Amino acid sequence: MSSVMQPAPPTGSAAETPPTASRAARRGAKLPLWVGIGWIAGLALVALLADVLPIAGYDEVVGAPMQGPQLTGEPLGTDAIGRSVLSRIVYGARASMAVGLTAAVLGLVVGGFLGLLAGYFRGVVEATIDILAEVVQAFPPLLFLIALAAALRPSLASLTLALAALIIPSFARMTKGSVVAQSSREFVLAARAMGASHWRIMFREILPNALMSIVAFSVVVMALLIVIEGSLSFLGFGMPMPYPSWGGMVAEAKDRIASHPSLTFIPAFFLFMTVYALNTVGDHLRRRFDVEQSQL
Amino acid sequence: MLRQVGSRLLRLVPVLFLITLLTTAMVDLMPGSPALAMLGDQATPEQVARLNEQLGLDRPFHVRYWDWLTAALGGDLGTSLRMGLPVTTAIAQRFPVTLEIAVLSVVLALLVAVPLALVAGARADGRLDRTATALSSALLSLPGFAAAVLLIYLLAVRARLFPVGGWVPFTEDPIGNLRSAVLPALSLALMEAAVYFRLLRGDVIRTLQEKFVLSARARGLPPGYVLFRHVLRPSLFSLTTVAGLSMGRLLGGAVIVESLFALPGIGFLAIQSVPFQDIPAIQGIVVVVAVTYVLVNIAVDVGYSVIDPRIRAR
Amino acid sequence: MSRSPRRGLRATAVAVATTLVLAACGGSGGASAGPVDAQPARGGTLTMAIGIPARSFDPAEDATISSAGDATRLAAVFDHLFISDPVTGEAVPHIGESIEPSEDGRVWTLKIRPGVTFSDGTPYDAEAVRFTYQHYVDVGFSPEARTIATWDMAVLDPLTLQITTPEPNMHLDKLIAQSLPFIVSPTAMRADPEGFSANPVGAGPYLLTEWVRDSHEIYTANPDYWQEGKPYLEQVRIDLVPEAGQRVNAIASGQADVQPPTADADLALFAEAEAMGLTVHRQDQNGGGWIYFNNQRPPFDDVRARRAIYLSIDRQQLAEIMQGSPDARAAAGLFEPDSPFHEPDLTLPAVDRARAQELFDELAAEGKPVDFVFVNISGNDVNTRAAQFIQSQLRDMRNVSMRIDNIDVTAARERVFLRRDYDMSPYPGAYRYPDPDPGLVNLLGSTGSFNTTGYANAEVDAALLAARSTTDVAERAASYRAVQERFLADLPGMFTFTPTLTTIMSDDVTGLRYTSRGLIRWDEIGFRPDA
Repeated sequence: MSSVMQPAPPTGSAAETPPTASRAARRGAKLPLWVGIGWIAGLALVALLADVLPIAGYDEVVGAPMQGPQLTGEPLGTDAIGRSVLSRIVYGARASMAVGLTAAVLGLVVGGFLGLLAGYFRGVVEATIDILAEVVQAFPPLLFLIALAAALRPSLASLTLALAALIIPSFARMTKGSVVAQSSREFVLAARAMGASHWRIMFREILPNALMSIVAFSVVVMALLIVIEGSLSFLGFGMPMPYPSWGGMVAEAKDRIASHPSLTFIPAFFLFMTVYALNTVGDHLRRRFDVEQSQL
Repeated sequence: MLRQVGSRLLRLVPVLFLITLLTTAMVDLMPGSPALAMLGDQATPEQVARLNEQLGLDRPFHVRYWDWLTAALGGDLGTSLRMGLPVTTAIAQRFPVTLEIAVLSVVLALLVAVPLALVAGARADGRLDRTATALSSALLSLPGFAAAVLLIYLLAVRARLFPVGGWVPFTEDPIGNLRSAVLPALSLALMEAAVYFRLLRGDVIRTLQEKFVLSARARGLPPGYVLFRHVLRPSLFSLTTVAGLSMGRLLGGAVIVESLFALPGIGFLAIQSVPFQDIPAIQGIVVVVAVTYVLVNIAVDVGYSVIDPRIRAR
Repeated sequence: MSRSPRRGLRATAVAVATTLVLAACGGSGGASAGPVDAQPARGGTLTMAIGIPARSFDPAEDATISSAGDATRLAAVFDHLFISDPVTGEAVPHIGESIEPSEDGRVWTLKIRPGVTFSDGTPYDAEAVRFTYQHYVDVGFSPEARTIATWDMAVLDPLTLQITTPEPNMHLDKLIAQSLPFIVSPTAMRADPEGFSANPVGAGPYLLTEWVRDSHEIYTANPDYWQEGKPYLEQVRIDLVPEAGQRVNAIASGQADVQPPTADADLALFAEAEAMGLTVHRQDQNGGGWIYFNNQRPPFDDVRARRAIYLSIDRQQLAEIMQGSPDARAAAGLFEPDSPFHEPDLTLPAVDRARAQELFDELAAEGKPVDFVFVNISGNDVNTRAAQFIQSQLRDMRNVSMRIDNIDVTAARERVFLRRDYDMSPYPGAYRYPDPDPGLVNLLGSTGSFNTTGYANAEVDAALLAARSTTDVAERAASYRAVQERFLADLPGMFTFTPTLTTIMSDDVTGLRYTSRGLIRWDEIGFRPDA
């Protein structure tokens, strides 16, 4: 979906949430936040413990295909091959989170570093990095990913790398904005006046101040990455088989939405909740750390 | 101002160069060749080699790229391998479809988001505000492909309100055209509407606390008038900016929505061209999408810097 | 023609447009026809929902002859020289009046019906056939081009073409009917060789009048069609609907009337279509869903490894999962019971996992573990389910491991068909042969065009050749019995489900007839008078 491919404004840009929102609104906003935190924590735990949980293997046929959710037996039913939907959801959580987290961290480190350079040195460095960022961002995103996925050997690693490549420019631009804003503040000017080295100013003075907003941003980016991975799997270019992906599960079940609605709705629900949780937590963090949005 | 636009436009040159180079390289790295896409399962190596030669694909990478580049600079984007049509013709045929869907989804999103945000923002924390805010969070979390699957099932298959897919050109049947465009546009508009809603609602709440609004209210002006005249107007620009940016993205072609609904737009052309390794078509799409994206961004930036002082001053 | 919606439409769908050419091709087979219980009325616009975009109207550029792709459209514009009977595979006269071999099967005489003209007014004659076949060779796209290149063609008189083949072949008529039915106007092709693929001139019942790429085409009745009183429809519209579920939705909601007959489809979808009140027409065929083993490299160069895979899999269960329906049937042997070559005692191995494990252990002990790559072609749900089910059946067995590489169709052609860098890989669709010639010959003969397994057995080659050089059914049956025996001993590839050529249409459509490739006979189809 092209509208979700660009990390630009999916959620919570600073302008969206008024700094002067009333207390009641803030209190009201707490419930979704806790739901979000709880969901992510629960999912992370399940994903980590997938191997020791008493569930079938994600590639194991446990019974007849396309059984609905059962009270005894498979709680979420079986898929078109007869595999446990529950264990595919659990291992799918692991895959989504691993890919999303790794790509986000890669994007954060590489993009953050490039953004730091661009924002601090400006001039030619900035222009070069801007051009590279624009190259990736002006590329039709799904086309970029599909072509890259086809060019690389399909694997978890190449999928993660492709997603990271897509997200690096956003981190670079976001960090740059933050750094530019910090660079003119007194403590940076003071450090400069005292003759501190570039690296020292960048990493000791500027980065720590910009870091939290970047981290907050990366939570939202993770949500985005999970959606993009879902879209790719939906198109058949995502997670290598037989590894489960929620987007792939929706795609597999879509022709049977009338006769077996649970096969579509269960993975769609998990996808929705996870994106919702990450968005909510990310928004909250961004509000707290007052992310400078204008550069995005 | 002009200098800024000039330097952005100048930057388009290296950007386009790198993008097209990267595209050629990626398609080159893809296993298989366009010849195989045409020849089917029973092709012999000799047939493949012969066709590749006919298509000029046996030449080295840099020669092919250079030839393409020099032709492209003269306005010739080459001939699609899959369709045998000039790429410019193919894209010119598809662009109106993608454009219509993009415009329609932005308009739909604005039509829903603006009134809702005004009313919700005016009564922040009211029941309507909380419902609408929660709904916008939900819509933001619904992946577009899932939204499209659900919309087809509910509105086309179950309720029969719209066709399940296909495209009727406007010139053939304006009403049929609109009917075939609504569901795809709606699938894309859901998320856009949520973004616009959040943006405008925040603006409204903030503006309502500004002095000039308070004084306008104190002068006894009707609340509806104040809302439109004093609140919406200053917010219009940031809204236009975001809407402009989403247009830039949507014009890149919504791959999933277009192929789901079988709409002959840019995204569908892209997804058909990639497995075929139709390099000229892919290259052409990438150029057009990138230029559109960059131009829209420049326009938005320029517009922003023109109006920015006024907004700051308010 | 739009019609009122029917009750209870179910099933939705979503598209993945990467489906390049995944539909059925290869051999063929099937029933005499579809429901023809009423003479069609004149007039109306029939809308067909099809899965693959039109690429070219030059028949020589269609290498796959897939009913879901260009060939169905070519049939409207060019008609058929001979009709390849979907049940028997025999060549039934149509524009071609007769096609007879010499006694030794080397010289074939093809006679054209007098008075047929192309839509540009030029005669459809022996020279046009010769020109078209030579054009196949010049273009060099299709596997038939390689066969034609070995022929010697002579125009004896305006309506008689003589074809001399290097080897005796008593069944050349079947190949011509099945794979070379479309004849172009030489005048038009010479006048504009570049433009022909977009502005075709043939002698078919309909003329291409509008083509919007990746969207639809409109065909209008040919006023000078050679069969009096035909075609029935005023117009045919072919709409591109890439997603299978969406095609059913389109027919059920009245947006379309019919989809082309295909053999690789998801039976569950057809069940849903029937539940919606649509007409589903089915015909079982010889052949099956087919998975190649790479016979030329380890581990599957060893027959024990191939046998062990057969023994590990409950193919009935596999068929049901592939086709998504308990109605699916595993292919029992190489021929269906109603075929003259059916041998009830020659059936494919049944599941025996204990024996399979012994074989895997035996191979591992010899230092030949069965670790292999299954190259799957993405975008085909049926094959994707097969890959994952087979893997799930092997996961608990020792000394065997399977990795799935999911790649797109172009990449797969490079890797599987050209470089043979695979261990197992599915044929995209169902491999069908109403008559074993030429389908089975292409699949199992050591130089066959579909012999991707690399299987080469002198005994099989000899038996196939022997069967080819006679028309006597008993003699042929004896030869094909030998082929079947050898196949069961060697198991060069895996037959999965029994192919069923299936069509979905609204109950207003009548006169559905098609060839062994599932190509519609456009001169016969129309709407019921009472519709």
